[in-house]
Amino acid sequence: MSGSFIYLQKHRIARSVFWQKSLIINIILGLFLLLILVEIMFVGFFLGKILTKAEAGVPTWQVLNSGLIYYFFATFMIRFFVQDLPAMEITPLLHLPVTKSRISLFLNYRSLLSFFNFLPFFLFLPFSINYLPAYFSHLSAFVWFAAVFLFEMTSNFLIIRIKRKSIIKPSVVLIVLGIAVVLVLLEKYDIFSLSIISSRYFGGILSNPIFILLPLVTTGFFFWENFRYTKKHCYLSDLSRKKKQTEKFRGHLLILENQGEIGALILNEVRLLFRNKRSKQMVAFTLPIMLLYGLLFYPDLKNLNHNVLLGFVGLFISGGFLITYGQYILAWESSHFDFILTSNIQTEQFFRAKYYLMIIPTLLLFLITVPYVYFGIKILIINFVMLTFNIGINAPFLLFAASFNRKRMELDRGQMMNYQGIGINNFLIVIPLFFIPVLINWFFNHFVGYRVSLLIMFGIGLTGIIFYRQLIRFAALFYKNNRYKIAMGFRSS
Amino acid sequence: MQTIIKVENLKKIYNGRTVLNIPDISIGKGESFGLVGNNGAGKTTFFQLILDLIRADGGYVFSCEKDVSKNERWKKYTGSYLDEGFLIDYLTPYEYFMFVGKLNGLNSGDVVQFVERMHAFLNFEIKKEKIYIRELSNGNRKKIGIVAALMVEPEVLILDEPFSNLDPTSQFQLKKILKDLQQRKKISMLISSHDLNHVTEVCGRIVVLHEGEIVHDMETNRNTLQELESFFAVKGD
Repeated sequence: MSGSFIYLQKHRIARSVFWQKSLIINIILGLFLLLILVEIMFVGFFLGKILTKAEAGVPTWQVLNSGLIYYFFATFMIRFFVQDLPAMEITPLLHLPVTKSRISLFLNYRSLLSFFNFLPFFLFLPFSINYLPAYFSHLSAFVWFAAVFLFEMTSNFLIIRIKRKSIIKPSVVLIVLGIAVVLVLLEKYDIFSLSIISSRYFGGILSNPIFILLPLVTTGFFFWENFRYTKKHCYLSDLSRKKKQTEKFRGHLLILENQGEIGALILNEVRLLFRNKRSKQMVAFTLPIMLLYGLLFYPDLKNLNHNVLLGFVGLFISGGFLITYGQYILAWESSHFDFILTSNIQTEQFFRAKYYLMIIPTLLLFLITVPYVYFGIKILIINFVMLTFNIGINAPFLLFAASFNRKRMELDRGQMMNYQGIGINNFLIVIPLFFIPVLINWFFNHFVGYRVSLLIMFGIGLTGIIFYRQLIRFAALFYKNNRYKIAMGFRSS
Repeated sequence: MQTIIKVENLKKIYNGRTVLNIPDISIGKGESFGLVGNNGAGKTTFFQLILDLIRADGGYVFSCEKDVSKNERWKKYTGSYLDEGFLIDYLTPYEYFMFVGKLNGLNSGDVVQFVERMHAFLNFEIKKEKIYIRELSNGNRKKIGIVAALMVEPEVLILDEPFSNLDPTSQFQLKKILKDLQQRKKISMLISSHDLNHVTEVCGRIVVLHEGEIVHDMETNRNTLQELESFFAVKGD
């Protein structure tokens, strides 16, 4: 029976439209994954040396043991956002002579293929083979690794159980992030130390293998709990992805309904963003990352003298929404694109609505980034200039580039690790969006000066804003000439 | 009869295979035009070309003497529903009607009034239902699409397989609505259907498509159903 399930899974992947049609994307992603694995293996092999330098005088295994709990927290958090539920088209099996126990069991085993479950083999197995035997017996080293692996298994089954039960809401994300911040602060100010607990527990395992019972029991418990839950919920109504949703829409946005055709189009687009899983997750996950991007650079004083880098960061921060939303500006509507084509909508109006929807949130979000002025007025000026460039040039450019993105987007699937609807164009678009403005900025900054380069960037952006109607008209005309190809792509992909 | 839609040398080719080839056909103002044919005969392709959804590989479609691929005026007087690609599935039915109404210059009062007139056909409380279109059954989704197409008071109405997925009562009601609309408003209707009974009942003219070509073009009379059944019985042998 499991053989039949594996057969189904194999064909499900191999015959998926995405796998068959996106060879280049698959190669890029494959190379990217390979690169990450090589890097992790590298860290794994030299973990002992790295940790020796981390805390002088303390044994490496002790340093590692005290940090392990944070490693589990970190992977748990990443799993929380990234790991998909083990999927299988169960519906066609429900009327066949396949027991629910078998389906449930298979789904549990299927989850073991998650990338995160293999990480301990790359990161910690070399450590347990190369370093631990110098201080402990081989059995202790083995049991230590087994415990690390089993904790990762616990994390795997726990995350699936949580995800099966609930849909991740932005509020949950904030709570999880909040808990993480609190734990780090408690540790930092020596109020409550998780690292001491971690160090004692894993140190204990090295001297007494009986402690492995803890991860063994937790793994067993969550494995069983997942099995029980999935078996109990093997019904069409439970498996349906189309969950009933309550009306969460804020009434005051309905004012847009009275703002003519453009208002109606914007309202429709706002509803699209907030009522589909993928677009919602895009806003909830990607946007904070882009907005907080500055914190990676600004605290380092060296970066504050690097004008071109600050320009790049400014482009990224001020254009976060514009870029994440704008690069799929037509594809968001791919499922009802025939409606758009046959409706009494003027193409230019349609594009203008999309333009406004890109720039209004961008302007509002810019206000959120104003506190970056804490790192200097220079940051605010650069970000404002880049905001002008984003609105004046990048927004109309995205409208123009939309005609090249002809892949249908499935909006009822999550955004994380979901490459459906993403084509090579989405990678190539980074060049004109980021590299060209960075290049212009670098050129004038290098040959003329920082102030002039900013003035030129501002001038280019302002010109785009002044002539936005003409730019939109140009994008609309290009779209009109390509509408059959776009529609064909949306229907077939 | 004044011509509203005229087709000249219309051709569509997929992968080297001609799936539609119509040298010449005209549809008159106020005419009810039924299109029948087996699967793959080219019915939907024909409607997609009339609605400028796909590019023709040859020929023209004129709506009110304007080439539909060059001029978009036809959108102002054409209501259509071909498939679920015409629905915005994350809207509630009421929001969808309001949106379509807004694009066609109707105010919310007009929309509510029209939807109330369609209450018997829709058979559920549009305003009270807070569910999105994607959560409705196939039949109800189809009803939403058809009602939206009717709501714009079109001069040309194009419906692809409007009776399929509908329950018997809804099929009966839809036939009544279409016949009534045709008699009162004299709109031009283009309807495709696999159900020969329905299409002969609603349409005054039947065109049979077979492998992309028109093989019959007849006025509906009491023998039409029999003739069609004989034609398709032979094709099935």
